[in-house]
Amino acid sequence: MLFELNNLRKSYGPFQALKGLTLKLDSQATGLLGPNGAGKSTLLKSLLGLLPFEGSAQVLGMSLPEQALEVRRSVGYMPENDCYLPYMTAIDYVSFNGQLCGLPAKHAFRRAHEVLFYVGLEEARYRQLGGFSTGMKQRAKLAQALVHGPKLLFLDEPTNGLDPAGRDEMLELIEDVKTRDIAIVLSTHLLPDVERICDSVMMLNEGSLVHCGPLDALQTGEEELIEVQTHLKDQVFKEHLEAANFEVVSEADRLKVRVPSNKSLDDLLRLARDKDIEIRHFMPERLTLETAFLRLLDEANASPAPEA
Amino acid sequence: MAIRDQSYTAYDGPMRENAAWAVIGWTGLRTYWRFWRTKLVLFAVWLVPFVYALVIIGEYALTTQLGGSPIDQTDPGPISGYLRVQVFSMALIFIANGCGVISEDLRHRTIQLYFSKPISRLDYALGKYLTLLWLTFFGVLLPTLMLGALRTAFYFQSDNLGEVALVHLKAGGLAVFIFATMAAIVIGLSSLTRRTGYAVLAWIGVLLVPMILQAIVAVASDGSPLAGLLSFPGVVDLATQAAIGGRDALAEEVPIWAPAAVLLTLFSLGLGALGWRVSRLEGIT
Repeated sequence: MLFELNNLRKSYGPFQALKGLTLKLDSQATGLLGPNGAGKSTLLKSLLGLLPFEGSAQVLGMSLPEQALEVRRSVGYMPENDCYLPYMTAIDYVSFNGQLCGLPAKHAFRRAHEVLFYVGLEEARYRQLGGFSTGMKQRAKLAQALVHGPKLLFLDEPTNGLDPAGRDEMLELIEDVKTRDIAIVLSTHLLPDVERICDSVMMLNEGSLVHCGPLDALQTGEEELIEVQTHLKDQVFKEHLEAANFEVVSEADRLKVRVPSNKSLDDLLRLARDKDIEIRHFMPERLTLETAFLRLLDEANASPAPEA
Repeated sequence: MAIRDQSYTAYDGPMRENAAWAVIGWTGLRTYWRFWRTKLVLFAVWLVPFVYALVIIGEYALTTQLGGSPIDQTDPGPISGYLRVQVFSMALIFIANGCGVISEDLRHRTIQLYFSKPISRLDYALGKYLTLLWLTFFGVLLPTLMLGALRTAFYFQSDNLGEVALVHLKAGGLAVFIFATMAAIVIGLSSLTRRTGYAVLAWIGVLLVPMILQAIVAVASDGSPLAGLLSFPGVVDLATQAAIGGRDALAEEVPIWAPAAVLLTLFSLGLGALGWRVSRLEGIT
């Protein structure tokens, strides 16, 4: 079991950053989603045993806070922001972090070479980190998180500030890490990254758990979404659809129609035929993570958060 | 080699526990050693002990030539003078390097990363203090102990070897205490800010302002020896007299415990500031 949280609560004075999270999760790659201030970083720090909290939590079967050091020995953490002394060389940085994790100096040095080769920084390993590009810095941070051979990797915005090519390389690297029996928790705002890497998601909003489960389940909504274009009668068709209790949004020259659970696609097509509307484009749309995310957020904001 | 041409393999080698403080201490020193200014300052501060070594050799030459030493071998005066000079050497070392020992971690947010590793707050505090002690050791303590050993060695076959050895043993112990106190003050100041420049200015201020105050009080009180307690070099002077010469070497107005009390207070304040910082690391971003 990756995580087992039971009524996990964290407050900063009167502000409740985490409001009683209860979940069990066992997944190879988990996306941690939520808007700013949702409690993602607080959750990560709590799971690293850095923050005291109420309730109980287990990471990789180890209880927090009693086994915080053991948890940190098994977990690699790649923080979002820059966290290195710019005058340190990459090899010293990674080797030092390896030693902090408990590797003897010689092993840490050899291992630092290996992981720097792995992340593609072999040419730059004796250069000072201050002269690195953003992409190289991100890779150096990933290398320090991998140096001690963790079983679980916390990645906080790993593609932040990267150009498209750099982002693609970083995601490729993370995908490769995932295949090497290292569980990943990816905290990010970039939903396509989660779609590419993760097989399950944990979604937070204002400290509460909005969703936790497989990614597929989130993307398979109860309602179907259809993209429709008519021959010059979009507005008329929209009015007819709304009258028939379909939810319709005009986007550019097309209509996006949400089919409620008590209706079917046949109802939609029948309505078009009855009203003599010629349909030129009819495309069932996959519910994107972004759409699902926004919908869940809307639902969460509409209903009050459950009491812890 | 492109990404992933070399495969990642899980680490299955040995792991050790309870040594993070030593790793932090040693890595801190190695990182400082990369700077030219570190090498330059350490070279410069070794010039003072070199001059004192020449003086000790001269003293030995005169003693052997004249059949007796022209100076009192147990006089705390020269030792006190040497330690006061070394206080400024130490100050120079810390201006060049040590003042950033914590503030750089705060500024570059490396603290956040360190504490995601299996280390405790005590490991971190001890490690950082050890970095300064390493600098102190190589900068001033090692030459101080070597000079003490040299002077003691010259009196190896004389009758008063025991007295000379005891004086230098006391001086060595006092030097350790003084330099440890200075390192504690610096680490305390560095804990209070994320700007190394501010820590450097504060360190210079901590040394210079009390010296000006001491001068003013000394003038106002017709040279009262108590004024010495107001500044670090003054306290070093009084502490050396008390440690080596005892009650007789110290002016009557100055309680024998006073210099040690001042040093202990400064030591506690410095480590207290470090403790305060380390205890407030929760949620640091």
